Amino acid sequence: VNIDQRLHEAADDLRAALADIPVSDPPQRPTHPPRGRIALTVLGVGLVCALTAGLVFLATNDDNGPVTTDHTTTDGGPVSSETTTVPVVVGTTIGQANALLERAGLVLSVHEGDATFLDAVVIAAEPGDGEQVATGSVVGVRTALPDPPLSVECPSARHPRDGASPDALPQVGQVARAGAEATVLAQRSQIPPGSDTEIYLGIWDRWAYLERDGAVVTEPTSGFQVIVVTPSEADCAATAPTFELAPVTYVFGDPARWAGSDGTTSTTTSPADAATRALLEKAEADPEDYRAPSQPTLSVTPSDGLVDGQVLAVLGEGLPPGEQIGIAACAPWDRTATTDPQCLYTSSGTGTVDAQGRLWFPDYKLAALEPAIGFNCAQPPGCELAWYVGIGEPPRVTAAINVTG
Amino acid sequence: MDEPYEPALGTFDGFYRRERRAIVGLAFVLSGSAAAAEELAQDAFLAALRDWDRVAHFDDPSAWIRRVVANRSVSRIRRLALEARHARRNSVPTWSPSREGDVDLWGEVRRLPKRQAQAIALHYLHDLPRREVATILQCSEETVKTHLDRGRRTLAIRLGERDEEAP
Repeated sequence: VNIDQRLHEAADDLRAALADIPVSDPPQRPTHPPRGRIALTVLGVGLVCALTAGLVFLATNDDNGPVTTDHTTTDGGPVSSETTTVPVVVGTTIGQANALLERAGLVLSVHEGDATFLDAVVIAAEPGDGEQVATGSVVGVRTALPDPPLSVECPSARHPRDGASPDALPQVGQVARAGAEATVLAQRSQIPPGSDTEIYLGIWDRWAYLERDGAVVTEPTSGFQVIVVTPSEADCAATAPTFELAPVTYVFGDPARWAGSDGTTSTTTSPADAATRALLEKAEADPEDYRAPSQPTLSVTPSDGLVDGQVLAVLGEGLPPGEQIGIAACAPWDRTATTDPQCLYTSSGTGTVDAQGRLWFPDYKLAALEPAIGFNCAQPPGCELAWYVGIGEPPRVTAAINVTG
Repeated sequence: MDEPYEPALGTFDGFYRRERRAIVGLAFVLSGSAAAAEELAQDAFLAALRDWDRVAHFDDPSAWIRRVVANRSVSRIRRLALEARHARRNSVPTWSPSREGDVDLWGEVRRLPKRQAQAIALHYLHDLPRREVATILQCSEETVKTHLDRGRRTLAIRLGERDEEAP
């Protein structure tokens, strides 16, 4: 039996199993609110937002004292002998999650690249709610964009779409950047002086609001669209846009609220302890001042009492300049073994070594648990952090870590 | 006034009924979870439905939805969130994917680098030629060949089998 044949047979088996599953009725297109109800909807959304903000404020200040923001306990060793329960933050906004975690003595960290403004919604958190962790631990969250307050078609816009739904943002399909970017630049020049309307480049899914200035953080090959933010439908119409090169989503509301870079990123907190600062100094030292170690090394902080999903700072030194390498949590590897190393590979742990042989991950998210393959660093024999040059290849350098949960 | 937009291609219902099982299968192979696979497929079809007037006019809507699912399925964090959502519905998948040996094989496919896993899933499960896989993954046919060759080679080593593609 060769692998090609086995893959064909497994595919046949799976197709046979899938043939037995019932196909439910197709989903139905959500109904679009009549134009006459738009104003009422906006008013309703506003009231709900105001009420939610008020409740969060009351809930987070019922101790009549300032909420502490001192998170210096997130340094390398056992963070604290005291434990706390991770609160439910999935489904809340970042602002709400930050308040809830602070009250529990925990630190919020938003995954790099995810939306960080206050209205972004937490879609996952690690460690998860109900887990007992040391006070001062970092809770890493992934976020998604909130549904805009109202997203409809501008009556004067021309583009090959109709019936855009309130959550039309993710459905931007296959539009290449060049087309959307050209439209953004052309339309910006037509915004009347003093107008509150803003037009910017959006990218599919969670980056859509972040690319307000056209500065692309992530480079997908498609999925670009134009985002037009206007205070009202009247302002939208005043821009008289024609969009033929890219899909467009209109967001009616306060443009500043959807900015994504209005200073609210301060809710993102990263460990800034002495150990991390020491690594940072090495990672960012000028080439003239930097002394590379004679042997490759891997340094990680914190390294003890870790949990799956925790954000760590990792610095590799003495590595081959210019090479693309990765790091991953691996079960301790016996160099006499004939089997591949057991590692949990993730995309967050890859990068290119700089000219001085350094590779710096200020926010490396530890992947230490994968039940589907029986991988759990919290169980014996534990794990080490390893630099590897290829999937399945022996680790070159390792650093000790202690995962407890 | 613009001309009203009229989808010229097939209906969404037909598209859904024709593609759903294949999309669930692709999501399963790449996510490793039947529950997440059903949620991933549902999300992808909802996305297609919301924008159907445009999607229906793509050269190949099937390629579009395969790309959506292939990209979303490899996100571990998304898989965990979808499994949680599926569980909240008190819904348990009633289908079992395949034999135990096949489960191991697909598990090894998921351990491959993302693009290799996607190429293998599309090529074998959906029985697509390299050219169509390249269209879905938005890369060249030669790149797909490289992904398939490397993926098979790794699988053969890990599973102790020969790496020979059938003629």
